[in-house]
Amino acid sequence: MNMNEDEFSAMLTENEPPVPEVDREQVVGCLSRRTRVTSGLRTRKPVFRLLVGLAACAAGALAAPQLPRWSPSPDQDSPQVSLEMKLNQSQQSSDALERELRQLLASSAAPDSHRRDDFLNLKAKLRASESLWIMADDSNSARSAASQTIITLYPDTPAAERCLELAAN
Amino acid sequence: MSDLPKPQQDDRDLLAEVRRGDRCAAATMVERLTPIVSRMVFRLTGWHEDTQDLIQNVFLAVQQSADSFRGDSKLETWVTSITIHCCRQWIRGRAGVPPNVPPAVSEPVDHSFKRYQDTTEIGEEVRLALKQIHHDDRELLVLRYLEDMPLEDIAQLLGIRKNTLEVRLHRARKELCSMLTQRAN
Repeated sequence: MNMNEDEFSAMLTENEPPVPEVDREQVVGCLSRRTRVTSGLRTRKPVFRLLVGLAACAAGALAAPQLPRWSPSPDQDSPQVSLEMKLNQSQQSSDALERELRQLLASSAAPDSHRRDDFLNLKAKLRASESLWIMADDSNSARSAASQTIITLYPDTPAAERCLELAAN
Repeated sequence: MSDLPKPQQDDRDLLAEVRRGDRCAAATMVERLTPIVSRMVFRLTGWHEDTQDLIQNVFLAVQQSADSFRGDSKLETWVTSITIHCCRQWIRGRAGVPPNVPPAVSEPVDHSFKRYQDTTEIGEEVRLALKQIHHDDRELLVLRYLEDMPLEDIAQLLGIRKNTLEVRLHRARKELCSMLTQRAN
């Protein structure tokens, strides 16, 4: 197939399909949107940085009062007061246990299976309360009626051992 | 007369307004350049039917590069170079996609177009051959024989010497004719 340049050009031109229509509105809209987005980013970037900076300052100011204090704290916040509050709670729970024990002992004259179960449950509670007694190192709760009751009724439990230690001191 | 702005200066102003996001300027530019861009894109992609996105990308590239237009050449020439660049990128992006070309039918050898029933069939074969040819060769054939650009302008646009361009054009033409003959056979 030999053909000169003109024939070749004519062959391509004559057999070329029509160019499809282009949605010009879409192209213009795309250009406008792109400009809005990019210019918006350009102008908003410094503003965004400023806002981030302000937010960081505000967060710092809010967090500052919650930071640990270097100066001696008031009595209300001291660890010692906090421990005493816990011990008071421990004392209250011990008193409650004591009352419950007295009720159980009073009814032990005629034990039945139901009461026995309650008694075992209470024993389990006392074992679990060992940690409370361990926290009582600096208090005089070892001489309370509750501790005496535990020592009497549960001499082999860790809680009772701890109570004896405290009483000895 | 000397007070009148040069056309290139007008083009620079137009592009500057497009760059700033002036919708009216964008509409003017799109209206003026769409025939050239859409035709070039259609031809350089091997008459690909769905070129709307690519045309859009070309205009976006024009908008982004608006500051680099110095007015040394016509706006159309500058946009043509951007269009070629965008089409090359598009073709590279589709490198793994095989062209949808039906296989040639094996029939008695006839080294001409005479075996085709009508011009429609010939046109189809020419289109398929141009789709199949390497995109570098297709680019040259489009610029020279469909866009009818002078050799000097093509050489300048592609950054090659005129002699080199003539050699490559001859090779591309020969390749296309060879493909057409093969398909005819």
